[in-house]
Amino acid sequence: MPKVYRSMFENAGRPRIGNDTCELGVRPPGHPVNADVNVDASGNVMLDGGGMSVFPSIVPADLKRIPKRLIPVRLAGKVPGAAGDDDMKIWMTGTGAFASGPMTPTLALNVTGRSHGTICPAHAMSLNDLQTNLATTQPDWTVEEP
Amino acid sequence: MYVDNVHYREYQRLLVELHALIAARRNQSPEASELRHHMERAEAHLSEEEIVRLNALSADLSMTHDREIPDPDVVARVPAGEVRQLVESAYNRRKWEDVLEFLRAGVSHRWREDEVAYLRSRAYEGLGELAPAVAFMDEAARRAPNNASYRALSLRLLWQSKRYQEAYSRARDYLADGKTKPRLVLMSGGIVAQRAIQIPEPADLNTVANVAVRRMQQALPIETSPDVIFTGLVSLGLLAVQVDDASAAADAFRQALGVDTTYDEQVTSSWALNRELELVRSGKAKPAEERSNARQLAEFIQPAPVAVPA
Repeated sequence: MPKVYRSMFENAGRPRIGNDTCELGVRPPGHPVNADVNVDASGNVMLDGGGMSVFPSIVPADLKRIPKRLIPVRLAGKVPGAAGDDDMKIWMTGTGAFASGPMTPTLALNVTGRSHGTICPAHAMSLNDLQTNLATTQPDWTVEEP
Repeated sequence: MYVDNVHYREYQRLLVELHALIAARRNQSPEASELRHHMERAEAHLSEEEIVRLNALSADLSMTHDREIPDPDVVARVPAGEVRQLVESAYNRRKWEDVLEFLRAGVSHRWREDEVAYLRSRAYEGLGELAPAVAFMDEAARRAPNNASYRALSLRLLWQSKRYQEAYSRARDYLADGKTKPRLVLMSGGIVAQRAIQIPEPADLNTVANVAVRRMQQALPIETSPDVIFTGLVSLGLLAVQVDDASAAADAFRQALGVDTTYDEQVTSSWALNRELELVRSGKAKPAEERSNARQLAEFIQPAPVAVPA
């Protein structure tokens, strides 16, 4: 399972499950800020690479490419320019290389660039099922910050 | 150029605002959250290279809340002993990207913080990126409250950014403050004079213009730079027209004609000055249809030259 990082708000020591920005889940079509996925006519999430955004590491070379609104201000002493909400934490899951491939039996990592990827459905599923599958990973995330 | 991308400019403006909120200890506020949402929308239209550059700006802006740290990549690449010379050389050659990069090597022990902010402001201005240019000049002014030049430059940058009302409001406050230094009084008068020929006029324009006329008449005799005296007299004349003081207006325009400036446009400005003088004498300077000459004159109201801090 690829190792991935994501800035998310916390709830009782775990990443907060939800369908809003910086939560464990995807933002559905019609979200006021940005939708992470598209849904087809039959109600399934389109397998077009859309999904929950993640980044590959917290080494300086990668963090240079991560928008600084995603790095909490309290880390500014270690990450130049950090300007994110201090209620967020940087969470990590997985151990393998940051490469496209299966995350779980139902989720896959789609690497979209050097510093960005999405966790998307591994096969056709509804939006609700995708949210449930993402929520199921909650115990696997741990805080790992620079 | 990065600023050619409207989304880049939008993100940059939002980033500047976000750091202002962080500096005001409002990082967790609903306003900060809203700004981050807007930033995310703009982000979708930015390249990775643009994000990297905006991240570097974010690092620069961290100085506004005392959280700036040196960029380890720049520190590794640039010999510490050469940083000052490299910055100065890049500045003199107007290599603005290099100025910004070398300043990220950690220069707090080589320059005062207001000087670092000033250099950053000039560099971003040189790159045509005015939102950070204003923010850093404001930071320089905050760090050196007695330096009127920083405030004067901020006024000019605000005007250049087309943030006219903000510039006008600041100028009004400076003019109302009896402790404002003469050079900043003249600069503020220039801003009010330029705002006066815009439509619609500010509601309090006549009150502010009256204050400006009085303060500028006190400040001008103290000024020594011919260029600043010239622009001050042009501004004073335009403001005197605004407050229906034809005698003061004519006097200011006449004096302006006698100042030996270093401006390339001295000949053309004298045409406009003579024409305005005629309009004042014939009582026709104020009607809207005659303000086109005033608008032309206002173009000669240039910023006061400010020396680079030692």
